[in-house]
Amino acid sequence: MSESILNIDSITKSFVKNIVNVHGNNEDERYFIIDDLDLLVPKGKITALIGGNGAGKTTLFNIISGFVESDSGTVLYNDKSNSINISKMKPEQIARIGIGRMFQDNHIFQNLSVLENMLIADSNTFGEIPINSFFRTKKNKEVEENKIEKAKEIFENIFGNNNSFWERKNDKAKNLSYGQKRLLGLTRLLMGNYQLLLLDEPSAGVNASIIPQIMEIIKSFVDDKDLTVFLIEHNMKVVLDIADFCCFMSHGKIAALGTPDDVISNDEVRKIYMGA
Amino acid sequence: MFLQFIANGIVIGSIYAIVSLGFALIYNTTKIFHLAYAVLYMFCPYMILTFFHGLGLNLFISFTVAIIITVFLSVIMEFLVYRPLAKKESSLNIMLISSIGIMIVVTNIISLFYGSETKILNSEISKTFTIGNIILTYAQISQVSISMILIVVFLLFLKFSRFGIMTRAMRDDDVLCQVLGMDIYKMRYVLFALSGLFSAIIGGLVAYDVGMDPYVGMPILVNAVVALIIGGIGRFEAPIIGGFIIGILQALSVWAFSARWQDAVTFLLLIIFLLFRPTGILAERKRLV
Repeated sequence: MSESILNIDSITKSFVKNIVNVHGNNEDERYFIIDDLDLLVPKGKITALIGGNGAGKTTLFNIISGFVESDSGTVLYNDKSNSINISKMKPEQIARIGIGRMFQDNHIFQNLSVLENMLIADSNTFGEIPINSFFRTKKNKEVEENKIEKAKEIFENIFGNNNSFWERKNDKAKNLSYGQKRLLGLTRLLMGNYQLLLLDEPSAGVNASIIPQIMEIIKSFVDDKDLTVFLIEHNMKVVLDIADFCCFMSHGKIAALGTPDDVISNDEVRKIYMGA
Repeated sequence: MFLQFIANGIVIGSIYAIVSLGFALIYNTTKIFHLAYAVLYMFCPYMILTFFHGLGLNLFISFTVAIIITVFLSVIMEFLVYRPLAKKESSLNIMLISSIGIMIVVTNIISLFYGSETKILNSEISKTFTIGNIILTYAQISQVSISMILIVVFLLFLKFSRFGIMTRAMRDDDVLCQVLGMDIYKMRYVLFALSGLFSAIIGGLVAYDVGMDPYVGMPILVNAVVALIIGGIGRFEAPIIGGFIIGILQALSVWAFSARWQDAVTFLLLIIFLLFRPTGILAERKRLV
């Protein structure tokens, strides 16, 4: 396996549930969502994370992206030059060091225009303090123009010249179809300075005709932009077609790991995904 | 006479519009029903009173310092109360109760130090300006003109600046904002500062015209919330439209019936909207799939 970009070491996440036992007494029982999980995510590859509902996949993504704090263990992110412990970092700090994420459902800002959805993802300036917005200096103006040009280039590179996204750049994103919203969410990831992309079921709920396009975009992230993709995916065709590596999660642990062909031959995987 | 009432309606509408806009800035982005916002409207005039009458400073300096202190109070509310609660993932009901708590504490402190009776900032007879049959005081003209400037600048800022795009993004989805690297808590400080600024400016201007007491904020806030609902929750332009509608309607109800009917007409309008168009005037059609 090649050099890793993410080093997940002994991560555990649990919650306590109060239950009534057979004697009618209340007692606390600990449930492990993620149970002492170790995983290395290889740099410059597509790694798929599969597993049944409740296996802990999304919780793992939430821990990596800073939305959930693990009970124990560490997550190390190896960027170009050094290794950073991101276990206690906030989501925005994690995004700023180069880890991008796309959620399964809320992937775009509905009331922003298509172009604004792209511009807001640019990582060069964040702009929480409005002072720069008040003074539109020549430099600020240049930065804004460059961002628009960058968004245009990204659309053209992925969807070709005269693409519908650029033509509809001033339309509100909520007026796009579900599939187009998903494509916009994926494309937007290229506006940020990310090295690792966490994609939560990128093909879920979209029209089958759009899935090949989604796969192409994900492949281009790795082949053309040298990014690393770590994705949760239920569609095994997508996993087999684009993933270099695959991990199968069950009961909060990695139950099988290897190439997609290896993992799919695992009995438990076959039972969950093929009913066999 | 009719035109005079319309003009009065525009004056009061501009007050509602600005107060409502400040409230919407917090509600739309954080979902906090920020009732404590009412005390900011009252707090600024008392600060002006302290610096202008108490310390004998120049009116403009008193106004400026009072606005800065009120903005600071607004940010302090976020820092000491809402932010810690948000970090603990407290429910919005807890935020609401906390907000009521802040409102009661600040109102009582003001009552304790300044008394509950009405205070006036300007004891002189207001100078008036006449256009045809319409007579307005200079204070009223300044309320309308400053409100208009604030509204136009803010809407342009919201539409074209990066901070504006981020504010609209936060209204849509603050979790997604964090994923894109935005520090939403830093944003929230700025939003609380801006909303405090709106309330302080208009509160100070109104108090300079008609005086103030420690309870003056709540009735204005209630009307501002109605303006927000009528205009359409979620849109930043909505409270402005709602504010002017309520202001003009209230003025016309005074003209047609009496001043006692103002609130009844306002809440009748609210009931009509809640029954027949709960999404407000600026509700947008959504694509279903």
